[in-house]
Amino acid sequence: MNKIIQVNLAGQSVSIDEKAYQSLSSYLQTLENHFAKTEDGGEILHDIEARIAELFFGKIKKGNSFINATDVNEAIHLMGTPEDISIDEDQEHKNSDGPPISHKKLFRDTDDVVLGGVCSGLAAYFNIDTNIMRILVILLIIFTGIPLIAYFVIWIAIPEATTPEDRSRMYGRNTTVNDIANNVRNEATNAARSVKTKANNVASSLKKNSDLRSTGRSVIKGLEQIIHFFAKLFGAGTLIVLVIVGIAISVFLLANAMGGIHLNNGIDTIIAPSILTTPTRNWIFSISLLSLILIPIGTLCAAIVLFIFNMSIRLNIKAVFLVWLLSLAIFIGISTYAVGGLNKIKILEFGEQMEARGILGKTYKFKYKRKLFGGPVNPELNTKELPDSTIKAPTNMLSL
Amino acid sequence: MDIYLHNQMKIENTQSQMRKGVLEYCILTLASAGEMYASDIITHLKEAKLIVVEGTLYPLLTRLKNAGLLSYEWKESDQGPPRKYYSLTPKGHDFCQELSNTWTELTLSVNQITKTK
Repeated sequence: MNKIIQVNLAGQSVSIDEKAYQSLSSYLQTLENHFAKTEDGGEILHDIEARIAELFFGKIKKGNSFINATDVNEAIHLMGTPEDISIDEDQEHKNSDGPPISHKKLFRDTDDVVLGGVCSGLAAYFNIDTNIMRILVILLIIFTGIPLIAYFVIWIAIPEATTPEDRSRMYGRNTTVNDIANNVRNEATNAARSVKTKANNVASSLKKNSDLRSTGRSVIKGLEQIIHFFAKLFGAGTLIVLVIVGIAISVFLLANAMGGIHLNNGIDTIIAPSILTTPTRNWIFSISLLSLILIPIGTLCAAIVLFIFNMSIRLNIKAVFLVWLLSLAIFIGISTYAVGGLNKIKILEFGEQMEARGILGKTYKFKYKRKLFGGPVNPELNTKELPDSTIKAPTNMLSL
Repeated sequence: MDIYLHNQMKIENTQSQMRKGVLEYCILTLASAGEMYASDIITHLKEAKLIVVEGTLYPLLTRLKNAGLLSYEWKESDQGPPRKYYSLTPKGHDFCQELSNTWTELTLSVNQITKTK
């Protein structure tokens, strides 16, 4: 069984099966990367796409209801590889050391797996023995707890190596700084180009068809593209907001785990205390709440990114949901358990300080409540005059 | 084996250098006959065995267009979407004429050399 995908080739809609789609899109991607260097790459690519579309329409006219992998291979053979296409480049530096090995990429190795194949994938990426990697990760989890979340994040974010090509890339050539710079540059130009060609497509399809009878249809098509474009723009905006919210929440919760936040109002510093009394509780509380919030945000972000760049990668929703449920359970657990461990005195003291500075109204009566709980009375706070700075190390900071 | 490969690479290099100039001349000549659609140009060039893969043509067309030698306009076709039809600009006509003279001279010179060899 094979899915049929509708693709947009130079502004024309073509039905194509999934296998054919994959080879066509990787071919166009190589061309795009190749022509990214040249000034008119976009136009050349558009012409080539239009020609491929024309070849496909010829096939469809002959009676094929969709384009299959053979048709795509034929078209690719006819159009030629990037090296064939650019005849004026000096070819001396090419093929100097055998066939090019594609860049190394991080995959999960599902053939050598304990849980998700993350450790074996990382080991392959960094050229380390898998068992050493596992021991390292387990030690880090025991002593800091951090890799636990990272493990699940990687499990979700990194695809498993399914095809032989993936597997060879998993071990492939070591990535150099140059490669990374190239990748970043390619990504950036691709993103810029996809926005630009979208806009151009809309403009040219409107312009091209203005004097034709099919104006109505083409206007609708153009509108569709415009709406699609703005949907992507909206997605990008949402993405930025989500990332900022995510970072803000992370900073707050990590500060909570580290023992509190220093609030500086320009005159003096108040320490907002951690919510719970012991560092361990605060860490578990923070990390579980963090994953509880960040998992949906992250998944949404990933979905938006996939939508913006027209990528179709299947997210491992099951794993995402599993991790989310796990953090929900931990969060509920620690919250119930921690009711007794609430950092009441410190929080009330913080409220009192805020009251004393006039940041909060007197309605909460923190001072009164704090006395009720038997906290020590800070004589400094009885007067309205405050010292210029009352910097105090948070009591449980770094006591991990 | 290495030496052989090395030599082969160099031949390809020279061949593509030779073809490049000739290709531009041929495309301009084809376009001088009237409005030409990219596929028509491809058909002619393929018949003459001047290009092997179609993709070669598109960067050339774009470059000639940007140099102001070719221009194109969108025209509706019987089947499918509008197509780009290329034609020579006045500047392109002059350029093509110059190339034609050069080509005549070149073939004479090359023939003279290769025949007296």
